[in-house]
Amino acid sequence: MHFAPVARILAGFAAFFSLAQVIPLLLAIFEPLPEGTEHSPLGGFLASMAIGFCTAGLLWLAGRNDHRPVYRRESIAIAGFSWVLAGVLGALPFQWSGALPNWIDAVFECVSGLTTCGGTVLGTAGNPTPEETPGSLLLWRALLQWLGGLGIVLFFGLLLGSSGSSRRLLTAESVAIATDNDQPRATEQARMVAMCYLVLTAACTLSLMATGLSLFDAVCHAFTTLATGGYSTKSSIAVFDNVPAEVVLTVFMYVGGCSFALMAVSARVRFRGEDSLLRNTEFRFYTAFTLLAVAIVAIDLMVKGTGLLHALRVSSFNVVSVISCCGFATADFQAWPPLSITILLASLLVGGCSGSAAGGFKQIRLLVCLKLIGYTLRQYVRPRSVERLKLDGEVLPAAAVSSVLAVVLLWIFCVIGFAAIYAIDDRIGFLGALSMSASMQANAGPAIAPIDPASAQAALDAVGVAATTLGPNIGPLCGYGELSGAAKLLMAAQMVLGRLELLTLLALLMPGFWRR
Amino acid sequence: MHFAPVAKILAGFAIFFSLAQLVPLTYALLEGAPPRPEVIPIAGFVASIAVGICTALLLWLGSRTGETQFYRREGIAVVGLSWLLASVLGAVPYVWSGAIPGAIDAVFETVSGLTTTGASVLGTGGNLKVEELPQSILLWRSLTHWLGGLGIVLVFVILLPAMGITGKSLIASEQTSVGMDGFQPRMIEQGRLLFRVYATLTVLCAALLWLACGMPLFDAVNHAFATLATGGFSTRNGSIGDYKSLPIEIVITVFMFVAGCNFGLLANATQRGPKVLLRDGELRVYFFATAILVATATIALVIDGRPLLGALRSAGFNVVSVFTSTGFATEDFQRWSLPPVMLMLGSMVIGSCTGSTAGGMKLVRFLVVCKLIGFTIRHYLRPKIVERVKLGTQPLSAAAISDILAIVLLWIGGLFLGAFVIALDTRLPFLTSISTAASMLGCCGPALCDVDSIGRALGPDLGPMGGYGELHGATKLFCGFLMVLGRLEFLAPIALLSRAFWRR
Repeated sequence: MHFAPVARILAGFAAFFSLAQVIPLLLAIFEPLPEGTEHSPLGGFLASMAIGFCTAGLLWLAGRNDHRPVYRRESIAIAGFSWVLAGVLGALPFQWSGALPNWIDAVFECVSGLTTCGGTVLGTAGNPTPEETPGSLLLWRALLQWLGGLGIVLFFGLLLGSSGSSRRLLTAESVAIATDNDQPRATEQARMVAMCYLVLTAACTLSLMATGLSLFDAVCHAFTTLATGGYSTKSSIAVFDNVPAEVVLTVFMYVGGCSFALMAVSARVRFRGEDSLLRNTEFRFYTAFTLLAVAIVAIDLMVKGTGLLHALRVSSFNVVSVISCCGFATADFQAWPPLSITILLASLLVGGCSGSAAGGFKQIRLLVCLKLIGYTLRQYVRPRSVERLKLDGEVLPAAAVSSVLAVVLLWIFCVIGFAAIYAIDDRIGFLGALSMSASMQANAGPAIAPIDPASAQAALDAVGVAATTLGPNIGPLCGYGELSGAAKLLMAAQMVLGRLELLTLLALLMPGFWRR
Repeated sequence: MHFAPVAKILAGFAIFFSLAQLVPLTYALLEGAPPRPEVIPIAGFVASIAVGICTALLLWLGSRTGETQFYRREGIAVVGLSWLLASVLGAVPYVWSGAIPGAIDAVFETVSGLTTTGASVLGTGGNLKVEELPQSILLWRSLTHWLGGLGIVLVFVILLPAMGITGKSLIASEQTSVGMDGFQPRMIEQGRLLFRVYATLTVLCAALLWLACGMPLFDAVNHAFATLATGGFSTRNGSIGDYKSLPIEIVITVFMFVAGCNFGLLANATQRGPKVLLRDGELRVYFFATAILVATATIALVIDGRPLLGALRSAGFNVVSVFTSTGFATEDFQRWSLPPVMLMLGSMVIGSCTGSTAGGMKLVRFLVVCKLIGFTIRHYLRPKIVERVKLGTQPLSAAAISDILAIVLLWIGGLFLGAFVIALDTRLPFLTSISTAASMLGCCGPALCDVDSIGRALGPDLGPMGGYGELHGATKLFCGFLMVLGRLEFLAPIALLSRAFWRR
């Protein structure tokens, strides 16, 4: 591992990240402050940009005289460190504008944004609600998610051009790029993915405006929907109480959970032929998974006595939100019956498609798992049958299968391990700890805490009514403010771990990594 | 699939199973009047033996003609159907003696006994308490544990040669191949040796409990049966905690631990000396894992404000009990704080060594998964690295790894789907349903319920001091299915249910 090239690239990244703050800064100059706010966020942004440029300068000084190229280990280090750097730099505006005076809260909010987790501390433990927060900060929150959606280094990597360094960078960090290392088409693919992302964001904004949202709300929600982030400009989507907007959001959340590269290719061939999205096994599986989950939850809710239309409305929005790991909510699904909760928890683990902005261990891995189980059973009954595992018509080598399985199992072990640590806070209960851990790792956002059964029916029947929880309410309509600082930092670490699909960060922790 | 050879073996099995009931029948004839006049054990056993022999006759009649060749699919069918047969035949004495009048309850109790799970319906849902039943019925309960203990297969290994059929293909479907390499060549001899080890340990356990700890002889024998089989049925409703005796707890802890070891290895050690034990990788991991789990649970209990020795005593017994999937309890451990409860849940799922009577995913699989994860991370870092995943000194083949991964996946999938189905009973909160699934699949026994602030279970109490009597009948049958699924390590029952199996 050589530090100099890492520092050089990180310098550029810090500068880029500071420049991005110009957008909310402009808004901060023109917007009026909401009532009851003392500080203008203007100072916060300016100070934060200054710090960002200073950091960039220092890093540049450290790496200036070294022109060694970036190899695999360096690119892994860059991917890991850029998230830490961005997590701290992006938090400064929140703290210095006075919106989130506690630095842990600010870092949590920022990391949760960048990883497109969407778990928030706003509105809990004395922090202002989104409605009481200046618009420029809300825009910055949404922008963090939008940048994080495809991987924060991706945009920066595109600016670097098509050098070898940028290619390695792209493949190490972004989940949206095929991970065969040093694939020659990585840069081109990244450009295509970014284009697709931009177009879809614009489409989402326009559609939301057509349903009656203001420009500001539409842009912010489009940013967080396509990134499957989940930050809203209101306490929840239920505040709008706008069914067309919910439908638009559901569609775009679903789209955000599909592979962007595949959509781009597919658009080029007009959704026809072999390369089309519609022929893709993972996409079909994802669609079936989503439909099935929505249907089961809707039936389960109807058994509990809600009407058909209401059940469909809340189940489609919230289940799609959880599968795509977005985290928007219109209903407090903590109050749902146990069956639905098990489905939500399973969805939190699996998440969306590979190459999407969604989290989780991805549908394709679940598909491989199922195929392996079927294969093993068939081999068990007929040991001498000749058969090979296939996906999309191609044979899966044994090594690929076992590495997919290793990631899945590692994912589950990590979720359980973190849950065991969160469980030290006895107030949130087993389900709370497990779902919080799964939610953080999948970058979904809300957790499912045990609730007071007396408040369940009210939350079931209406939109946007929160149930009363036994401990702190960490559910979809509330936030994480009341948890301890240590828990919040750990959660932030887990979000990054999940965002980089475990291996990158764990590789950084291996002793072999730091050997020269 | 040829039915004739399958029916022939099942006939032998039914005979054997009926003859086994002569033991409790003899006891019933000798014991005094039952504590409840409406329960008549002698009637139950006599009727049940008659039914068993009739079934055997019918099966034998069905097997007289046709193909006699025995292949893998026939082996799978025998294993699967013998469980079905045994669960029904074993339940007859309970129903007809009036001890457990509900048929579903009786089947649940039998399956739980034969799979060495130890989940009971007694004392809940309107059923009689353990203490209210005649001793002969209790003896039958413990005996189902003991018979199920080393797998019905072991009985088959001794029984089948007498019938002139070698059951080689049976082993593969009862337990997976990992760690069973000593089995293939001298199967019959091995089987006898294993049986001797198992029986000796049982006698030793009973003797120690009786002579050294002052347990009544009847209780000692029953607990020895349940301990060596890692079952968990007790002769008291309050389980081992009812005796309030440290020596008893220590003896049982030790024998539970022993029962969680690979019996093949233990048998090997009797021939080649105890050195073999030290060389075995899985046993070493098992030993350290137990130590770590007990230590962690002790620390967690001390943090929750218990004195050190009390915490150690409680953690030592209950953690070993859950880790070996026995299910005895000295206290209601679902009332512990969340971290030790999660520890219990984890140890329930992982389980002990292969080739033991314990349930769970088995340590060796967990070990292989951990190694594979480490390998994958190193490989990610250095894609051109040349390395193979090894177990001991042997590199594992890709096929072996994929088999292990498939079982682990089935375990996790089974846990989720099981919890999913159990959660259809809306009285059961999430922790209760997932721990019930884990406990059934792991053949452990007690679940870990969500408790309220004063330690009462939310919904029916399925914990170590509760029972499964209050569940819905369908849920009980499903739980029975999960037990068999876990006991046979998924593949055989699922294969039986698949379409590919029945295609000619």
